[in-house]
Amino acid sequence: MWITDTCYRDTVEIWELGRDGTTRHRTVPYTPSFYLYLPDPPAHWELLDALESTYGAEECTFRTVHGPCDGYRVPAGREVALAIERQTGFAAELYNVDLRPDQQYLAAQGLVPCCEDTASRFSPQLPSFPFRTIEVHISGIPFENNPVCSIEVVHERHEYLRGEEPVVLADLAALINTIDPDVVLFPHSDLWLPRILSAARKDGIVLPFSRSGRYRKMTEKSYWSYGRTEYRAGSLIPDGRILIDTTQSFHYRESGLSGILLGARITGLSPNFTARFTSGTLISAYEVYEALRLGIAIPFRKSDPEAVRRFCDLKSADRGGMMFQPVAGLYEQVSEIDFTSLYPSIIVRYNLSPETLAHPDKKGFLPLVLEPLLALRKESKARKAADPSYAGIDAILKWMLVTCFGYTGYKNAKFGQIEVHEKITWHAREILLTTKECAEEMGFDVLHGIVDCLWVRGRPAGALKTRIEEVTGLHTTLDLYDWIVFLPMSDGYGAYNRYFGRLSTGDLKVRGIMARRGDTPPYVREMQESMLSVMKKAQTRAELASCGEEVRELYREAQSGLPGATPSSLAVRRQVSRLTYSRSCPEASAVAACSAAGIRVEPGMEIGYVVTDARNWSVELDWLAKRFDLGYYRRLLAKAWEEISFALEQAAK
Amino acid sequence: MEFDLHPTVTLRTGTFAALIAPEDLVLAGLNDNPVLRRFLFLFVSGNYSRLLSGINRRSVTIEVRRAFTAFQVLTILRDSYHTIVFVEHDPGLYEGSGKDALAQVAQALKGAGQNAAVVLYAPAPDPAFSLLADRADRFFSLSAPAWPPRPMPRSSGRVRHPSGLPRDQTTLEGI
Repeated sequence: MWITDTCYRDTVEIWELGRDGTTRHRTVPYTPSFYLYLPDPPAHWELLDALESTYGAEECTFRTVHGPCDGYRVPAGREVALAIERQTGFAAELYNVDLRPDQQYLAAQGLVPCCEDTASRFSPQLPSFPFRTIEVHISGIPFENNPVCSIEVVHERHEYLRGEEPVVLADLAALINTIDPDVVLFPHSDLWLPRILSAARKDGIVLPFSRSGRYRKMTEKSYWSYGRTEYRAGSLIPDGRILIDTTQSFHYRESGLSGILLGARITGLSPNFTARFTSGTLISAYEVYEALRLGIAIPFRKSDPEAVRRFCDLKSADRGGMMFQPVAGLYEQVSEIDFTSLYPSIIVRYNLSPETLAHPDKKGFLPLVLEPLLALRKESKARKAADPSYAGIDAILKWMLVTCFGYTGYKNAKFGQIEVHEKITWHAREILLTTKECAEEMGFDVLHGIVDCLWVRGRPAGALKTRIEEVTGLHTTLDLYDWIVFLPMSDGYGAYNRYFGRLSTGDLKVRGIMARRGDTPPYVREMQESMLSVMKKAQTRAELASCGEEVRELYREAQSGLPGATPSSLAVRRQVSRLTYSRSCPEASAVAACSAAGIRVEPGMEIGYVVTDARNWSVELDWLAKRFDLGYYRRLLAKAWEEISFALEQAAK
Repeated sequence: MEFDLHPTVTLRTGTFAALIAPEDLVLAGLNDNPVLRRFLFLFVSGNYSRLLSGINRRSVTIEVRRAFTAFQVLTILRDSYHTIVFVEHDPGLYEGSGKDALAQVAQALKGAGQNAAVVLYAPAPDPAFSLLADRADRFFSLSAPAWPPRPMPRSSGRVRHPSGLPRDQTTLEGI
């Protein structure tokens, strides 16, 4: 049986799917408990007496990452833990307070979702399982309050449900009952589901998305992540089925269903949550699951700050990743050496963990739990090169491993410490410097470097890769370019993160230019993409120069066709970081346009808009836009052309 | 021990003072202050310090501890053994930590202020700062130095204010 969903409502509820397609729901009695450590127990004897008599608290020794701890096990919930904090003036150290009881139960039993045999938990092979999967597509704009009159359901065949809203919803209910799907792929389900459930209820229809009729509610929230405001819409999560909002779910977009299922398997969370959580939350959940499995208590509050440091020591330690700035231009015979999951590899190789700062001889918790994840990533990456079906698994592992480094410095990280974060970046800087020296000793020209990547000119690069792996002990991948262009910044110096080039495989690698940016209007992106597809055919500088006129013609066509473009093809999609703006800007106008259309906006939401007058930043919402500012979009096309023409000019030199 | 952070701000051992002031004014008081070289000085900040990059590392001998949560601030204050404890306020530390934690930090600032000169600093007040400062023995609020007024344009009826200056005096120079 595969566990497909779990939740906790005084008991652990588990939904399972058998190989023969049968589903099973079972409930397991489970009372979670937390651990308490008091630095001075006699000072709190009254509290301890009360905990013992009321909740059955008992003395025990529990393990933390720093070692064994003599304290108490309290079979009670979060409210009791918060009361202890208050009463002890935050002197009490609490563990295992804010965990998911269903995850705790699974870890205690050695179970994980989406896996028959826990021994194969770290296998990249996801066995085929008899999932009944349906796709639900509702026609219309989810923000509008129009009745739902057209739904397309895709399962073994396509079904089109059309008519009055009650009829359509009744047909949908009947279809779900008949198919009894295990997985529902539903674009904008977080927006549609509350609406159609409410409409169905009014018409006396039960929409059986939930196998028990109950839904768990995830509240919406805006949060700050990597320097920008993000928004997570509220969700209704049905019991017993995997419901994925294919539009909103970052992990579904990046890694598909296989990635979501692998995420559930390694974190011990229901796939409904792995589809909705951020990569950071997933890596944190994975660490929590592993700690629980190893019998290590998880701290509730992050109360251990960095050690006292002299000011000058702080200044020398507190640096980020290393960069070598490129000289803008076109280069041939270039190789890119890329360290696979550099930061997690450093954590494992150099045994970096909060507890190993004081005891470097001890095997650290973070290296211990990251090692199998890293090995799995290496394997999935290697398999992906030969079989694209591994791309989803590789993508979710990549994102989880990317965030595991940042998590060491995150304020809510359960197993983080800023000194560990600094040590990781220190090693990364040393590794990049060593790599550069190796390359130069072997006669290569170093063109560019960003944290875990180095671009060098010269051949043969295979020997350099071998040498770097020998010296650093870390795994690398090698990409060979026929040519690559590093674009200039406005001051003429090379930009760190804007480049494109043709790989020796014939593919194009593009970073940072308008074709890659999420806020580029489709019309502009398509123009740049068509130019790039012409340039992709050029293997040498001379061939690149010779395709200049063909590419320029594409620019002329785009400019001349612009007046006839549809406004929706010129939509700019941007996240709004706030709701009030002190200056006039398109985001401010977009927020105002949403308010006028009766759409509630939260910071971090993405809004699609079309600029109708750039002089005062007037905009219309993308699905309502009837016109656009021709001059503004001409300038955008010119900007996209400049990125391309730079390469052509360099090739013609 | 006592030292002048500013001609109007004298800080003494055994007090917890709250200070609102422009950054450059505080940096001027910290840098090249001979008193700060003689005593154990602890600078406490959050993840994003406005002051640390402006402190001249040659002119002062300070120790630093950064906190990322209110609970870490508590630990730092309870562990501190320094003569001067300067806390650069970061409201982000208190988001989601609850009023109880905030009250405990205020209590810890007050407690640390019994044996040291404790300063809680922010360039502008916010709700968390106000709650913490409620327990302060002294409260200083300094405004930016006033610039000579610019001549008013005769032809225009609109009153223009020099950028960066308040339209009216919002606080006293020093209390």
